[in-house]
Amino acid sequence: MVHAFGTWLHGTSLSWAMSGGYPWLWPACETLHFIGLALLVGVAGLLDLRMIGMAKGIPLAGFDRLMPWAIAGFAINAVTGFLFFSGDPFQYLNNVAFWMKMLFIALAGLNVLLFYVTGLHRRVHATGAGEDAPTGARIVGAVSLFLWIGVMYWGRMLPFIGNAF
Amino acid sequence: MDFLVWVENWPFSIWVRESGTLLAYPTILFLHTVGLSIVVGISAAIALRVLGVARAIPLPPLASFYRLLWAGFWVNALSGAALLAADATTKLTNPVFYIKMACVALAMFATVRLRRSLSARLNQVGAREPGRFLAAASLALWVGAVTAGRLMAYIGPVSGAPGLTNKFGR
Repeated sequence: MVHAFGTWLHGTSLSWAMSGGYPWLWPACETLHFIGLALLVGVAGLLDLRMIGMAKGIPLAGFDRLMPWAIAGFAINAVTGFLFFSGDPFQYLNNVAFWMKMLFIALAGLNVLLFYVTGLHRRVHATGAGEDAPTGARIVGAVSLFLWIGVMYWGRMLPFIGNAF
Repeated sequence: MDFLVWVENWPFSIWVRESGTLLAYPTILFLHTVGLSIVVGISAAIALRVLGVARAIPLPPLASFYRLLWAGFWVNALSGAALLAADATTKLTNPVFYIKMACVALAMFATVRLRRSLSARLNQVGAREPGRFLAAASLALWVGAVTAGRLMAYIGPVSGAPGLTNKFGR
């Protein structure tokens, strides 16, 4: 099914545009992908670091209004990431680094999901200035940092693992 | 140019470029990306707060992230120097590289100066928030630095060496 989707996508004009139809499109998307990366990892990373125990002077509820910027970074990268994929689907589908990257993103999503369904977010929200975040939140923060650094690792390895190496 | 050729022929430069191991060029490029996310990410978050986003975050504790920001900066200065040595004749003759360096220098200057705006004395309720210009400049200059860095793989002299693939696809 994935193979059929890849074949169909490769035949679209979107794929044509990305794979050289408009030569500036690929570099433009790469630039946006790196700006999105900085927004997502920077903003979400600050919350993770605060939960782990850095900058305890910040009440955790303070991050509420900053988080939409991390989500915006993720959205930019989901869109530009899909555009890369459309340019040459099999360059990705046949690459283990791509699947590892998707796995790490899925795990990061699961980590956020657990943060909410376990009710941890409510206790985090009540953590004021100078207070330690609950132990569960420290684990969620550390796992999040590890996973997003992992996502960057697999993304960077795309041209190397399974290709030139 | 002789100097650049000499740098490119250092054993270290040859190792980065031609050893064919994941530990060489790919890992250095990965470290450069992690450093970017730390430096640009923290700078952007602080700049957004100074510009008025998420006012519930008090400004003074944000200063404690500067130590990590500097760590990220040095990771990128060192990894960047290694990437440069491996490809000196190409990168140092590309005007885009100098645009990137100018953006990075000005962006770091703006980001470091912005720290003064975080101090408690300037953060009194009702006081006009300082540092908005620096925050906006820092954001714009970091976007410029990332853009120039990314476009070095596409504009001007671009390395044809197979070990120096900094792009995927077209």
